[in-house]
Amino acid sequence: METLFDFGCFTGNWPYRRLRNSSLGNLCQLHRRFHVTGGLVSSLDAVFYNDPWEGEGPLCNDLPEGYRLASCANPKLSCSLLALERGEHGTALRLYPGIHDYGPQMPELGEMVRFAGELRLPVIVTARLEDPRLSYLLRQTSVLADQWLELAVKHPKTAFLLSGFSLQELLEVSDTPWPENVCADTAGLCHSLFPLLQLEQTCLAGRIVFASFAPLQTLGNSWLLTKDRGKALASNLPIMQNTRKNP
Amino acid sequence: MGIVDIHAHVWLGRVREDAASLLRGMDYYGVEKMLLSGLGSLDPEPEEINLLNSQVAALIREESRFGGYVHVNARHANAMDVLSRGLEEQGMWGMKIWVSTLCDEPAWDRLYDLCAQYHAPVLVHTFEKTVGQLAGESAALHLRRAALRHPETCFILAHLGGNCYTGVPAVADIKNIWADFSGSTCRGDDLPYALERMGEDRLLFGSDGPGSFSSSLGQVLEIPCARVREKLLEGNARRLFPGLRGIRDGNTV
Repeated sequence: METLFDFGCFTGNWPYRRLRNSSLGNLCQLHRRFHVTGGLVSSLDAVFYNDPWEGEGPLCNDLPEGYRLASCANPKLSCSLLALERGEHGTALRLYPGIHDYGPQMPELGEMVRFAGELRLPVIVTARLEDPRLSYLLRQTSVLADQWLELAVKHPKTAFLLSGFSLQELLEVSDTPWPENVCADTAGLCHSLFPLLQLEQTCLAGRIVFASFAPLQTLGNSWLLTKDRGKALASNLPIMQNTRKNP
Repeated sequence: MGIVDIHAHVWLGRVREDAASLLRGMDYYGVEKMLLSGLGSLDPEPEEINLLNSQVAALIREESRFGGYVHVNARHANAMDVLSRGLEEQGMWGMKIWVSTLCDEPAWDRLYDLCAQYHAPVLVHTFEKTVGQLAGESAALHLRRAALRHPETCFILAHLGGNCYTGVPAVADIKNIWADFSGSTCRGDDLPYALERMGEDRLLFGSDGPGSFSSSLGQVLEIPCARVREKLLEGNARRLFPGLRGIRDGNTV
């Protein structure tokens, strides 16, 4: 049976709706059902904390074999860079610019991204965590893939993962070859028929990793997409290699 | 197990392309039967309504795995004739309400009565949004009011009402309202929440195709109980739609 690694999954609480199975144990159990061998896990609580490590630190200590932490990084928090210097980070950084309301031009972000490259921490850019039509409390600003690609070009030593972008958003920026340090994931591809086959025809062939956004989204969605895997889906991209190793 | 998809579309101007895409999805995901409606303008004129229904009727004749809904705009003077023709002559199994008119407007009443006579379910696009709500786009509370006026008519709350946390509570206690979980909202707990509030006997699989199958099918895959999965994927639809009973491989047995 073919196995998968989930490059985008979560534990914890979400303030806008009840998540029934959001513990780390629940996630691992769900993964086992779908033959997912491990994951890059983030704390949903940390998204809203002024000190994200309060949410990520305990999670980091509890991760079983095969699981790694993608810790929340928020350049708008004054101690975000200091936290990285202190080692308060996972094997990757997950950004939430749509929730924390900043763009790739932010100077503090540039410094963070540069430092992440030195630490060999991939930077995961989250497009959105909720469907904007359904969130009357959570206001998410637009996260534009082309702008983040420009940032990636400026930081060739940092690996980037564009996470949760829709098929349409990816197709719109696939006319020109992507930088070698950028890939994308399947978390936002759930609204299209055979999206991987469409992406196979673009420069993104071999540049898409599996990510479920479970338990915010059903893992089954992204899992089904892997069944039509073509060249678009990569099981082990070199630029994400560091996330699969022990810290 | 043959999946029954009760909610898909073909779009004006690309009917053949959409039908081919849907059939590809059906073959790949094991969908045995799919119910279509034709969509185009947000508030179509009678000529467009006629064209949409004719195109769906043609697809039904050509491909036994397709079934159809009559797309009706209640404000049109010929709405009753459109519905009657669809159910009696064009082989449709239900009526589709999209976004031209709120579903609780009195203009629909006689149409609902006719649907009850034909045991034809009414599929109502319902989507309560925080942004982009259309003037004629029904929400679950509109459907609740309509269903209470017409207890003999079966209604389907499409997309779990969009935001299931406002949609499902509005209809859970109304026994002539069913719900499909079609569409692009693939949130992790939508279906478990709907199961808790509505039970396992009134929820229906729909893809909202040709957009996607995985959004809806993926939700079912996470349901641990096989009995419930079977009901969601086909059993409930076969109980609701008389035309589906006794049908295998697209043929009546």
